[in-house]
Amino acid sequence: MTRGADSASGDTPAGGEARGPARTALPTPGPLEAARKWTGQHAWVWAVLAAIALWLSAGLISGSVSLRLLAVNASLATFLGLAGVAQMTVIASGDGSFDLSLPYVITFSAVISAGVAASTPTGELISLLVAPLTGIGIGCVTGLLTVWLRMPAMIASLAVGYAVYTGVLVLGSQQSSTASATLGAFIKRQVGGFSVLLACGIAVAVAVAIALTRTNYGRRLHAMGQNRTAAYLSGIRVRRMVLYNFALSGLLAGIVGTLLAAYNDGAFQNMGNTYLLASVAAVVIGGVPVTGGRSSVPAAMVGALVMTLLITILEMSPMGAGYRYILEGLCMILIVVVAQVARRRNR
Amino acid sequence: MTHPELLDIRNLSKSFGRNLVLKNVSLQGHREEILGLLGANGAGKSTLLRIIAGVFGADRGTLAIDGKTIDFAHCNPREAARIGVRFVHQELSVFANLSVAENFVMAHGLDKTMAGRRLRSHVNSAIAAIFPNTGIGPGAETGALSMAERQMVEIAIAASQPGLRILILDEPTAALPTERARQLHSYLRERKARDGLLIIYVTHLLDEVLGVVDRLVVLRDGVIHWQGSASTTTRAGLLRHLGAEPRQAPPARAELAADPGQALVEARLASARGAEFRVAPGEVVGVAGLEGAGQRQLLRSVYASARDRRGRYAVCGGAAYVSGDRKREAVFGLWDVARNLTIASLSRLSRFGFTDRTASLETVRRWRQTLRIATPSDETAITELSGGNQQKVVIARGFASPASVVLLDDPTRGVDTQTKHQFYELLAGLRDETRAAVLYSTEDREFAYCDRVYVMANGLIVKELQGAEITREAIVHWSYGGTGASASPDKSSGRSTPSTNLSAIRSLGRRIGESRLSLVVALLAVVTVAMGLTEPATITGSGLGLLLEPGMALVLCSLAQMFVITAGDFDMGIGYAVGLANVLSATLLVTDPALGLIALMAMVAAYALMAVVAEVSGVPAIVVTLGSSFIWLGCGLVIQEVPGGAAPRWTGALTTVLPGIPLQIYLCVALAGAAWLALFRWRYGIAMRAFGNNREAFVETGRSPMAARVTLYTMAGLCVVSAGTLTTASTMGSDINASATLTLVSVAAVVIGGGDFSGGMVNPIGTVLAAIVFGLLPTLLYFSGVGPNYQTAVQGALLVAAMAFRRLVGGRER
Repeated sequence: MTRGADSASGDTPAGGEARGPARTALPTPGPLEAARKWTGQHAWVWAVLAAIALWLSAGLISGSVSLRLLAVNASLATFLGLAGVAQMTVIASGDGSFDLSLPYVITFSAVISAGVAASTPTGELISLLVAPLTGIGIGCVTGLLTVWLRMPAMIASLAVGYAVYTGVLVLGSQQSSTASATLGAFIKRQVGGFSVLLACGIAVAVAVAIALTRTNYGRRLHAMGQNRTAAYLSGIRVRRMVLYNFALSGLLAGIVGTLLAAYNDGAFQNMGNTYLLASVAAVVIGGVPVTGGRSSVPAAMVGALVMTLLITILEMSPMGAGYRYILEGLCMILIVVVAQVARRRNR
Repeated sequence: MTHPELLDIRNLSKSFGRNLVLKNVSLQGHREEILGLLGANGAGKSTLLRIIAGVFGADRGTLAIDGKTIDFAHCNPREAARIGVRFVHQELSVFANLSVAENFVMAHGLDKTMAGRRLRSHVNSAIAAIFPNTGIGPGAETGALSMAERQMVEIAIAASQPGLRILILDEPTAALPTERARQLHSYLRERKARDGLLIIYVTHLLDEVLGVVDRLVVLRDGVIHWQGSASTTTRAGLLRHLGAEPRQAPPARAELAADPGQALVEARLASARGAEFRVAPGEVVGVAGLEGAGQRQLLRSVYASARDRRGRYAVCGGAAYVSGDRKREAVFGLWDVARNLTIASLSRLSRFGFTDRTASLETVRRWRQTLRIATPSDETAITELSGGNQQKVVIARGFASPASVVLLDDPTRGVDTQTKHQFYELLAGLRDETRAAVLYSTEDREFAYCDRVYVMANGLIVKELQGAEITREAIVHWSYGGTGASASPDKSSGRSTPSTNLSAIRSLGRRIGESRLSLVVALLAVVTVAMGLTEPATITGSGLGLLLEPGMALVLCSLAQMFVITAGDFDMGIGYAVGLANVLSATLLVTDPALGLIALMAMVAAYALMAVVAEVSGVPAIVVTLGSSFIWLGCGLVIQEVPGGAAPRWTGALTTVLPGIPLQIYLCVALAGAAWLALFRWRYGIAMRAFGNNREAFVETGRSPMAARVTLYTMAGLCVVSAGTLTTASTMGSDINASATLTLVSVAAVVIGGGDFSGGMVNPIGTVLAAIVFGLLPTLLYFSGVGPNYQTAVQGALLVAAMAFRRLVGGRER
């Protein structure tokens, strides 16, 4: 009933000619209507409001509203924000794609980055290059599996994730994990209350945002996410795009891994584990539909901030970890359901 | 006594938008009659049939079946089937993941007494009554059958409908070999006399229709143009009734300056099929023929050749494709007009990979003017436009692209006359350019705008028409195979019935290769043998029992995941759900058994609730289950902050190691059997698999998708709870995090066991076997000296190998 109605409303019945001209004749929409339309297109404003509300309530709980709290959380949210952006690029390619290898790639590149940094005198510099390249390589493998074996993205990334996890276990047990101390010190530095880490994250995010909104790559990705047949018939090389897309996701995961290793002065076995669920959650909370064809880098970043703030507040409250998780889960489902129902009303 | 006519249609009219498809059609159909319905493309045949079959109502007029007037406001195919009207579509509508017998059950809602051997013999006799010796087993998976076999199944399902009175067959022999077509015809003649049926028979094959039907009705442009008795009609006469003059003279096109040296499209191999096809610059080339005669395949083939720079045709300068199937193949529904229009021209409208806005807007402005696209602005969502204007955007997309050949696949489908004329003007203007267009249309009169027309029949080009030769008569004439030539296609090359022993063996071999069970059985054998070789003690009963014990939770968890995957969903939180059940059964169930039981049942209810939330809100299940995983984890931590707990005493029985065959093996067999019974023997289980495979067709059978999803999730919940309890029994305690890895492993087990994300494709036995393999893996790796570190890599490799195997051996497209 629900999906049927959904798909039917997306299409104009053949020959329904009256609608076009009738629309043009409509009076200029009122400010309320315009606002509704704008929020419909930029669903992440809700996430921003949620973030502000969370920040204020954190202030209420602790007794004073502090910008510093926001700054700390924004820094912490950098990792999740980038992981969310990685997940989002895969989700945007449509066809029910998710990147389940993300947590493993993050951990693996953290291990590689820490290992390389410790191994040679110039290691710290090399590690900056090697870890992201590792991510790209793993992403390419996932992409090739989906393209060659026609594996669904979810299964391919799952299989690759498993293999990568073994890499983590094997390498992790062989090396002492001391990460790039220079990089660690650098990203922990504060400039005007905000950390360099956040600035790095935002720089990467801006680059991805430009790629997604201003380039042919972005256009083709979103076309493919909406309708792969139509994309093929519009001259888009869908298989090649799948490959690029996983490579981008891998690159971002590699960057997250490098930053994490530097931030934590080393890598540990399950360091990336929380990022699977949380990355999807960040995308969803940011208001990006998981059905593909849409993306918004600010949305994923703000979604990550909301998640981080939520966790901070729940940690500030006297309740135990268990209740925190329950509330997190409930909030996540609630936000998505409300967003989905509202979106359907808007149509 | 006077019976009312079986079918009585009076003054029926139907329009889609402004397009009047049926005009005042009146038609009577008698008992014991085979009525042949003919008409050129777009004459309104399928619309008329769909109204009779209850797919949709008419705008005006009445339809009465056996004297009872049909209420158009409440008509649907299910209701029509109830009063005895059955329609065999051209698009086959069987559930591909179900067996032949199960499709009978889905279609007829056969009662419980019809099962097992009785059902099989019912199906066998239903098929054999029409097509003897097909060799189609009732248990065969429908998706694995050939097109001809599927068509035969579909016809048999319709013909065996209890209480059948009107049987509508739309091109029933299109996929059938000659012999089978003959069998169908003699069955129809015998059956109409026996049961007083009215059979409406639609075909493009004139010789065939003259040999089968009693009365002929020719539809033309939505009106009944002619009707008469088949016995007094000749093929030539029928062709005359079918053909027509083009209604209006198209704008004359100047003679083309012939330049035979250069071609935009040319076959690479002069001897290959379709080598006649050639397109020169400035030309508009038509590809005509009856619907489905291979025109679209030709266009796709040219497009694919242009894309990959190899293939059958050499295409100079690239090709663009304009599809008339807007929803499925053309429109990007989330985008505005501008993006939709420029997506095929990005390489031209960009600098260093960055989209050039000014150039894009200029292109959009130009095409909005050229085609007079009625849109409030460039930023208007394309779905807000009328169908005709959406199509203009799609046409503009093709012509705006830098491609030198524009392939037009029925580009004016369902658009109004005005739009059509603007499109024709565009075609006429093309001659000044160095480009060319290839037009395939379902409306023969549109070919008047072409310089040359290739007429296709049965996948082959049978005639090339030029200039003044292009008339509707000529196209109709050649579409039906030409003068004198028998209209029957080269059906001798069709599949003959496999009846010999050799082919039976071959088909058995094919079935084993295609069986998704073979892989996992082989895997299990390899694992068992390897274990026996490295550590012989493991192959004893008690050894196996000990080995299997920790894997039992995985078996149950995989079954739970399988039920969710049956619905076409994916449970991202199943690991923590098992963890919570583990915690509940090691704490509450020990201290307060009643409360513990209530809590476990509440978990099952929560699974049902997830289905309800996903179904009502339309949120993807992956998100709901993901959110739920936090809740499971939270609940687990609230109840038990640190690992601990104890196992209820009775659970000790679950881990008993019996001498001989260990209890676990019994348990595995029982579980696999139960799940198999639930999905493959239980009536509703069949329906649930049908739901996962084809939601729309499922809804059309009148069943509730909500009920199906909730039932599947409830079964998953029961398995999850059992998995948790078993974990408690084998570990004698609980840890909410201990089972977290099960989420991904369970998916892997379902996939390797033969499951598929396309929904409804699951195999409980395979799933259990795969889960056992995964359960034994750690021990095997330990014995063989491979560190436990490599366990996940082996799991991943197994997953990839399984998919590669399936791709190589199975190979069939779904």
